[in-house]
Parts: sequence; C-alpha cells; structure tokens
Amino acid sequence: MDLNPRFRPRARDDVVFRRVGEDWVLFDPITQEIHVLNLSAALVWTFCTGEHEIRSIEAEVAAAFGDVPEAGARDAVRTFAAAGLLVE
Amino acid sequence: MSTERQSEWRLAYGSLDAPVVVEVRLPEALPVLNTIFPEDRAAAGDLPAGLVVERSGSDFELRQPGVGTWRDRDLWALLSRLELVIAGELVKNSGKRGIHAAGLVSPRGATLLSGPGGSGKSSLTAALALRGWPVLGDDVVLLGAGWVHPFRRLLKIEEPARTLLGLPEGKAALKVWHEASFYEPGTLGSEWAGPARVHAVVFPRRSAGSSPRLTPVNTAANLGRMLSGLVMVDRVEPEAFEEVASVVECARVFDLVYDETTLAADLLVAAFT
Repeated sequence: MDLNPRFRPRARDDVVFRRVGEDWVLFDPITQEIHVLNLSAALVWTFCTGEHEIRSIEAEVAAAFGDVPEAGARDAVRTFAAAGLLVE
Repeated sequence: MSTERQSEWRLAYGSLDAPVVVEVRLPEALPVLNTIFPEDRAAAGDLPAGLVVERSGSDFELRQPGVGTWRDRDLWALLSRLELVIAGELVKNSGKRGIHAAGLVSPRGATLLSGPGGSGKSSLTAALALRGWPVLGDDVVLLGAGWVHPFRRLLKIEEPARTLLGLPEGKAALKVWHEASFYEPGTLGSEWAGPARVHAVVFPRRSAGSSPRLTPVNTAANLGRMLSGLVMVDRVEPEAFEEVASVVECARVFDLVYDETTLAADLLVAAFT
C-alpha cells in the first residue's frame, strides 16, 4: 500500500493503547486482537491523531531513534492501516 | 461469598446484599451443593429464587430465569452445570472479574496458574498449599483494581492426583461426583490468602516424561492467553482488557512444562522464594 506523505493517520478512538511489561500493546475491541508494538511503533501510534502528516511523523521518529530508517514509521502506519486500527 | 443461607429447599449463596438463590427440589443434589459451597447457612427467607433445579418427567431440569433452561437425563451432568452457573453468578455478584486460573501467594506475591482443564491447576495448587503457600483459588480467582482476590471454594482434587500427592481422602460430595475429594486449604497446612499483587503468571502444560522446566515468555505477547480465561465473557470489552493488563503488567510470565506435580511444585517454590 502506497501512502501519501501528506496523509494524516488518525487512530480509532476505541483502540486501547497501553504499556504491559516492557512492551506497548494495542487492543482492538472489534477484532479482539492484541498487537504488540516495539518502542518506535508505539511512538508512531502516539502521533496518529489526525493532525500529523506521515512525513512529519517520519521526521519525529527519526529524531527520536537516529539509527532507525525513516521508512520504519511509514511501515508502522501501513501496518496500523492494514489491521484496521486507523479511521478510514 | 462469606454467607450461605438455607431453608428446607432454598439455598442462598454469596453476600447478603447480592445472594445467589437456588431453589433445589432434588434431595440428592443437596449434599453435593453443601460440599462444594460449604459456607455458613441460614434461612433464605422469602428471597426469590434465581435458579431452580427439579425433576422434569424422566429428566432433570435447571432453570435460570431470563437466561435459559437446561434438561439432562444425567443428574451429575446437570449438577456440574449448576456448579458452574452458581460460580458464575457469584463472580458476577462480587463486582469483580473472574478469571479461570489457580492462584497462590508466594513470598514474592501472587502466582497465577493459567491453563485449560487438565493442565494440572488444581493438583499444583494442592501441592503448593502443602508447601505452605496461601491459596487464592484452584480454578477461579477474582481480579479487581489491579489486585487478585480469593474465590473461596473447596479445592477439588481428582484421582490419580490425590493419591500421587499423598493426600488423605477428602470430603466427598458423593462417590460418583467426578471421584473428587474436596479440601479446605487448612487441611493441607495452608490458609486462604487475602488480596495480593501478581508476581508471576505460569502457564502449566503436562508432558509425559518431562523434567519440570520453567521458561520465561513475553508478558504482552501472552496477554491474549489470560484474556481467554475471563469467566462469562464472550467478547472482551476495553474495561476488561484494562483490568487484566493492569493486574499482569508488572508480572513475569512463564511456560511450565512438567510431568510430576510434586517436582513442578518444588521448582516453583525454588524459583519464587
């Protein structure tokens, strides 16, 4: 799935996001699925408010994790979208 | 869950402000219920019965108004369902969430044993109680505000576990009742535990011939296994997810593969003391 760099991903309000142990998790009450996130994906999720374009999220993640490729943020958003966790 | 009241045919289980009232019109069912739910009894008075058990022609019948009616030719199958229904109602009335897991309190905090029937939860509970760990429950425990609370029913130990653990013959409802013996923790040298924070969640699995082996696993990745044990829950709501997550968020999670219950109990005591 190609993502427009100006796309502003917005998380579904009903998806639960919280820390469990050393990980961050998303719980989707519709699909009943639990998604375990690494730290950079968790950071991406916090920017999925509908206010931030993908390119700015990529920049934020790159600034926080200097050694992580910028495409990591885009991959995370793509994964969130594919799992139905974002508002369409 | 501390008070049970009884009239001639009417049993009231649970707290006085939210009792589970059962109209039992089968004399043969009374000793079974009195063994499984052995708390103090008093007259149920004129409380309306939420559950009715009686004979219906050649069948036996359990009615739960607003929920459904179950009929069975096998009295023991019906009583088994009744046991589950009463337990489910007690959980609901407790205002807490019930989860299918055994629970004991180790020196480091509560240890939950989570697994399907036959994974050895009750036998491990008895073995750990024999080693002095206070008991929260052998099949169900209650979750509330980040704590684990006891669900007080007698520990139900079936053969061959009773013999293998060297337990004396316990209180038996009737011989045909799953060939089970029922024990208060006190008879095993332990006691009922008060609310506790979870230190560890263990998923036991029997494997013939295996030496006991405790393997740490990822807490978050195994949250789904815990959620699947929620009592009377078809779909997990966000609040239930939050409750379970808050209980286990600081816990260590392990897979336990074992064959002999006593060796597995020794391993858990060594690991969590």
